[in-house]
Amino acid sequence: MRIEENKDNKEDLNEIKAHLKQEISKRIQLENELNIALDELNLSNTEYLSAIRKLEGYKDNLNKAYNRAEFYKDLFSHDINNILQAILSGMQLCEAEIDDEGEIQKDIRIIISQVLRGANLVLNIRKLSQLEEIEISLKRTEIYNILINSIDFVKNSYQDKKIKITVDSVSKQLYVQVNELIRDVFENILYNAIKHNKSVIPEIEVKISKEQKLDVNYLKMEFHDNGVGISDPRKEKVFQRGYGKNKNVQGMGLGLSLVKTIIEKCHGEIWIEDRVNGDYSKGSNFVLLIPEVN
Amino acid sequence: MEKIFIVDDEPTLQYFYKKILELNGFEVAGIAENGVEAINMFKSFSNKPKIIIMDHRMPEKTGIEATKEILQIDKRVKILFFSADISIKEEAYSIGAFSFNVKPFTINCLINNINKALECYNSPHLMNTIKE
Repeated sequence: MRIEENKDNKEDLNEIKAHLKQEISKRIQLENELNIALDELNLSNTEYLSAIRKLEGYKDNLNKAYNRAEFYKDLFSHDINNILQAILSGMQLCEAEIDDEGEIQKDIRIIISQVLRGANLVLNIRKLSQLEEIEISLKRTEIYNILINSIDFVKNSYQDKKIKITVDSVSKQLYVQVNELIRDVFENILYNAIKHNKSVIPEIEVKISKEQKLDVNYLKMEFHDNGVGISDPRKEKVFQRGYGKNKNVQGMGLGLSLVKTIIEKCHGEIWIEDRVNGDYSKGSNFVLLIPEVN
Repeated sequence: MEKIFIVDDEPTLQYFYKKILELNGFEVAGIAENGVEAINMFKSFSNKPKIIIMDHRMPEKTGIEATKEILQIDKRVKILFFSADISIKEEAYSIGAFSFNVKPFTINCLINNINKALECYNSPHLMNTIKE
């Protein structure tokens, strides 16, 4: 009996030994697999860290490039304005000092108008740049009076030219959610209508009504002019920056780009129609839709 | 004849300011090229000018910094900022500037601002700035 018991015990022991060997083998295999996985993870981690470092490097370069651009933009606009000031002052003094009303006076006035145009361009670039960088704050604003003030301002800048601007509005209390730059919108549209106008008396009729679109209440402002008009292919392009490189649209500058950017920042819309449907040569109709507030 | 103090570092603009002011019946009290010079010259005037035409970006000390110190010397003086740097407009008003105009400005703008400032200086009950 004892020998049989011993024999049984020995078999059990061998079985246990074999089982343990198997378990150890499995464990060794798992450990190897784990080490391989760890190696792969370390590699990925290294690659990840390398990618992060590269991205940080790119971000650093981008920040430096941005700061450089901002510096040059700031320096340029400041120094150009100083130069324009010197030219403007000199020309205005010449205008006052020269008695005759002939060609010299005419040339001086052209120079002065170009200086002011240059100054306006610098200002528009600055404003456009700021609009693109930051979120502008909108507030409830009464714009009928702003429109009237803009009209007076524009008319006063054409002392020696008769201009007719009328306003036909559904109300004289018009509240919209805009930024203070709305004044630039009105002035740019009005100046544009006068600048590109060969009529003896440039005329602009401003019509203000209300419109609802997709459950949103809008103020609709239409600026009808008797200017040279804008052909269909150009109606979208005039709002694009860089379009001025094309000789055919010389003079559009950045004003309308600024207008479109401001209106879009106010969650509005702007487009151009013909004053007389189908005949662009009779003038344009600049249409603004601006969200209304109570 | 009313005296105007010019503070601007651009020689060409100093020349034009002087010429424009004299043609319009004003006397130039002095011309400073930077903020430090502006403060020192202002202190030295026995008969303080009522109006200062102030630029902002100048060597040594800016127009904003000079304005703060000058107004501590004489808070009645009207400081008219004419700067190529529109970004400082709000700060200029906050420290007590009478007006702020960005360059380039017309002769009419300069003279109108000076006349309004003189009106306010001589009648203190009128508004202290012409901020738009």
